[in-house]
Amino acid sequence: MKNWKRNLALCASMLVLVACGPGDDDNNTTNNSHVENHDNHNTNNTSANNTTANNTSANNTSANNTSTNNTSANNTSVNNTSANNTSTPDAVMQWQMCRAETTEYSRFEETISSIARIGGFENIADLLWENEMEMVDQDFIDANLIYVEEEGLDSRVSRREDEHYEPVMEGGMTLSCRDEGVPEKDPNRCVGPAQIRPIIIDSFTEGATGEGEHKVEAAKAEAALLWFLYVSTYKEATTCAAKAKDCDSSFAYYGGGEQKDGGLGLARYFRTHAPAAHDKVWDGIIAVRCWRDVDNGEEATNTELHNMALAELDEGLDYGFSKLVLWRLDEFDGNEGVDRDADWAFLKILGPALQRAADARDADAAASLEAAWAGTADELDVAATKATIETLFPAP
Amino acid sequence: MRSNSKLTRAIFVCVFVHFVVSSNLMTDAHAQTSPSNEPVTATEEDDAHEQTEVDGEPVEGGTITTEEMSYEGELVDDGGNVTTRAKPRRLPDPGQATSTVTRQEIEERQPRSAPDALRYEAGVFVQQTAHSQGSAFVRGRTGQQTVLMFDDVRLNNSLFRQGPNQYFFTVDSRTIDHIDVVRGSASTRYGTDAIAGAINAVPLEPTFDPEKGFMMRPVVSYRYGSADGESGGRLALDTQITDNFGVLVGFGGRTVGQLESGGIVYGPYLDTDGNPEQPQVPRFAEDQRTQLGTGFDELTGDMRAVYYLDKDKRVVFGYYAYRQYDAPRTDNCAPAYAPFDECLQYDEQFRTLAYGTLEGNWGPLAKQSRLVFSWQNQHEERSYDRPGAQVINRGEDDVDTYGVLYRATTARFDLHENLSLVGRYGGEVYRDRVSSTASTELLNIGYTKDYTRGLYLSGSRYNWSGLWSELELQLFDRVITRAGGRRTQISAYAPEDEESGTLGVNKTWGAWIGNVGAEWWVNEWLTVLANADQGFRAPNLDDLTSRQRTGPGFQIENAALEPERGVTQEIGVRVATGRIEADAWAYRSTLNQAIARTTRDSDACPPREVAPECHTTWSRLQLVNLPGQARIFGAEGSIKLDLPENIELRSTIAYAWGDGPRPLYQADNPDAIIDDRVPLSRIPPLNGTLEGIWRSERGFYMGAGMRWARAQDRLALSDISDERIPRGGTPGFMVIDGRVGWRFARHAAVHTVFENLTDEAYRYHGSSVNGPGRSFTMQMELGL
Repeated sequence: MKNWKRNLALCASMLVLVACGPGDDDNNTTNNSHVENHDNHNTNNTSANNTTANNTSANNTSANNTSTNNTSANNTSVNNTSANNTSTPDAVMQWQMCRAETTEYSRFEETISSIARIGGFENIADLLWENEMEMVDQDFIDANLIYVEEEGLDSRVSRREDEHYEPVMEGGMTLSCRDEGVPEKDPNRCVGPAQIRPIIIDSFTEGATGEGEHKVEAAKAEAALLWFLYVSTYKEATTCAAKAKDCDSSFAYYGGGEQKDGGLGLARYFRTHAPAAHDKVWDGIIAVRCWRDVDNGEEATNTELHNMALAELDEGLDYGFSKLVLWRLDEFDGNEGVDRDADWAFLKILGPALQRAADARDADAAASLEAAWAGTADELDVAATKATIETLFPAP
Repeated sequence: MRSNSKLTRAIFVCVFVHFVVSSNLMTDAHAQTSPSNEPVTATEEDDAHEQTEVDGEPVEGGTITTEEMSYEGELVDDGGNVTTRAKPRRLPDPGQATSTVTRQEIEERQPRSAPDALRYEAGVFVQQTAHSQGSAFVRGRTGQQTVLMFDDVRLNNSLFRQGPNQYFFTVDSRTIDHIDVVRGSASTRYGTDAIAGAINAVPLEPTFDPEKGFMMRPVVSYRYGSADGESGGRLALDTQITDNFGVLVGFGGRTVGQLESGGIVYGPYLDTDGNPEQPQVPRFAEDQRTQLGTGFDELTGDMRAVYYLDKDKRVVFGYYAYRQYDAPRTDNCAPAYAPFDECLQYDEQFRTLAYGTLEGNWGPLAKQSRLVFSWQNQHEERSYDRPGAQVINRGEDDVDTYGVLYRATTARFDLHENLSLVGRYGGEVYRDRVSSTASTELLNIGYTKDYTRGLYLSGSRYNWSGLWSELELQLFDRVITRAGGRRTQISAYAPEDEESGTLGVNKTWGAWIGNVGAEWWVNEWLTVLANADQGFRAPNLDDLTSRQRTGPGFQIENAALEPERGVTQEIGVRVATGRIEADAWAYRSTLNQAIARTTRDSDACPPREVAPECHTTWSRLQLVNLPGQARIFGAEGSIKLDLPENIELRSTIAYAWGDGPRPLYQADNPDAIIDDRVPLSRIPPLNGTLEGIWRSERGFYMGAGMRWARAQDRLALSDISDERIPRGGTPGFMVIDGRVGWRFARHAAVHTVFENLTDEAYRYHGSSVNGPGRSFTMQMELGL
């Protein structure tokens, strides 16, 4: 009897010690919270996708600055020589000379990892929207596998921030779109995780499971990936101030590491559908590269020169992007059936993606565009929409 | 679900306790007929049977005490006529820089793991890539260049990575009696790859009491740690079946939560807002103290049966199983710049070791000999989960190692009045067989793609063998000289995999290496020592065939690697009096054709279709043989003072400086010698420890320990791209721990450590994990 009491006491103490330890519960809470947040994340992403381009915090640095032509920019910089972040006449002259002499982009680093991502984009294109055969479910599976390769396209889509918008701030602290709950706070700034990624995953899923029309799902993936390349080219040129090799990434995201007469990814589209835009973007890329040559510290300081170069690049990108929308509007106008549905799916993504730039140019015209994309395919007035876009985005 | 399993475990423990307690009570009557509690060992000379008395009773596993050491300057027989002096006699490596972490020290310091138990050893710097991992740097080197052993069985296998690895963590510190550390090259005795040193964890033994017959002692211990919510314990059953046959069985488990640090460890640079730059690794919870990507669960089981054939011969069978679950790799959970919810974790990290030994005195030529047959399985299952992309990359690697080891020491032969000779010799054969798989699972589609190769190539084999001997001459009771040599033979085979663009490997290497050393007993308390030792490390399967994500970038295989060869020269002094034990060493360690990571451009990658990550990664690396010499210079020292009133003070200090050829690959001239020299990777900064402890005769103790390290800003090229190291280097730190405990009966004790009293935010150089913040750890032990 005595022994039983002793054993019972020992058992009771063990139960208390082992069962009441806090570790498991803590872990469970954390894990569950991750899962829940992930679910919320996706839900919010989906809803964010439907409310694109309701931009309230647009930085407006790019489009409004497009009036900054070289001459005026030079004048401004000449008059501001004292501060570190302004251009000296020498710096501007060096920059201009560099631009005049440069025909090819010279890399900071031998290897640019973004080139492989553009390779991934091209491989996905071959499987889906440029597939000469009829697409099958497996093509979407293979495309999905390419998309999620480690350090591949998804790794960058998932973190992509649109530098046209101010960083997400809270309590005076800059928040990263990689952190929990931040994409939902500002889907425009956190465009990759909040808007682009859900579209791409959804299109692969629907295409692979046969729940969606292959052509429609392929068009969604195409539009979303082009949006990513458009945002990335500008983003890398912006962050090149802190890391020079980001200029290489900007160059690679635009043309897959090829020079002006070549070009993969976005450059291939621009060369085909908007040659003038291709020239303008290429000038912008050289302008950015030359700025970084002039402002060549570990971290760049000449923000004025940087902004001038960025403005050129941005103007070209916006114009080229508008031309892609126009091209697809023409396709939409001439197609029927599932091809038309695919065009509309493309336009429903790329059209709103142009909204920020449109808002910055003419709010009223932009509002009519917004209404056009919010409607149905049958409601779309193609001619009026094209006219609005052409007015908003004239040839540079 | 987790709570249920916890409850199940608790009930299981209760039932087990009831069973063993009942069993013990049944034997009490018998035990009481043999009232003597004198500690008796079957072989007085056998170190494995050293015991510590508490209240006149033996303690499981034994703990070395100062009474068992000899410092008087005379020759000491350590059980195998190993001649040494001025240090604890159990140390198996006479003439070298050695130290031992005893069971008592493990209990007092309450380390979280076996590597953690080494933090107070001179010349040892423990880096942690994850909360559930730890790798000991010995004299600036780790991983493949230090040999890890468990009871003399090599843990090193052909999948050990370059740089830090987690495998010593898979030794359950609760099963360890003591850990021997040999600093400096120990290539002759432990393998040609023991270029920087060797670490041997020696397990607990069953207790023998010849005055008693059958005897069963259950011991239950429980530990709680506030920094990471660790909760777990061990149930051991120490059974003497007969007076020459004993079995020690143990089960352990713990669940460990996220680790709270003292805060963010900032690098020396400022960010774009002008604030101190926060490293990308680790990620923190909102409190900016709790580190995401930490925590794990662990289960262990062990059994050790010892059967004495006669007074000085015995057979031992050991089985040690370690199971670790859901252990994130902190620097990849989430990876730098990736969304918060992405995580690479080890779903399973297992080690199973079974071995049998025949050991004892087999005559003058094998006075202390040991024959070991072993089998070991190392199992890893990883998953890289990216919930936002609805994809999981999985990998699974297994390596089975079959080994035979023989090691012996002869009796001391007197050749002349002033000349005597002792010989040591042995040999080993280990054979690895590897299986490795990888797959990608698309959760959104419910599709899994299996790849033709994993991290490694299934069907790979690696054979590692050696024969060695060493002679020791003692002259005039003043001078000892040692010289030895080893022949090693290594072969590597990996099948070609066309689909993944992997070349096959079929190589064999052989080498002779040697060592010389001398000891001069200057006087009764001072000894001067010098050693030179060659090393040789052939590339292993990881070097030759692995494709993997590493801290500094994505690493691709190099099937053309050749061995690296090293030489270590060291000189030391050792002081030993009744109250003082101190040693100081200076060394120079060189490595020719050192195998090191170099950056590569994408042209070196296999085709994009089969190795896309190689093309898309920021930093791609490949192991190459550096065309020059890598070298490490360093010095270390330790001192221990036994003061009156049972007060003990200890201090250590260590410094290492290393450089090597700049590992820049020139595609047009791969053999080019580059004069430019750069720091070697992850060389620890100047660091040290200080400890003081008072131990009462009644088992109570109280003390404090301090660990410190200077900043390390000498970074290798791979360190610069390594997110584990803050940009510009790792800042220095000083951390103070308080300790108090009481062993109030043979198996009844409480140990408490108050860690990081000043709540310092600190990080060991090269680690992904910051050290625990202000916290406490408590262990209770209760037994019969």
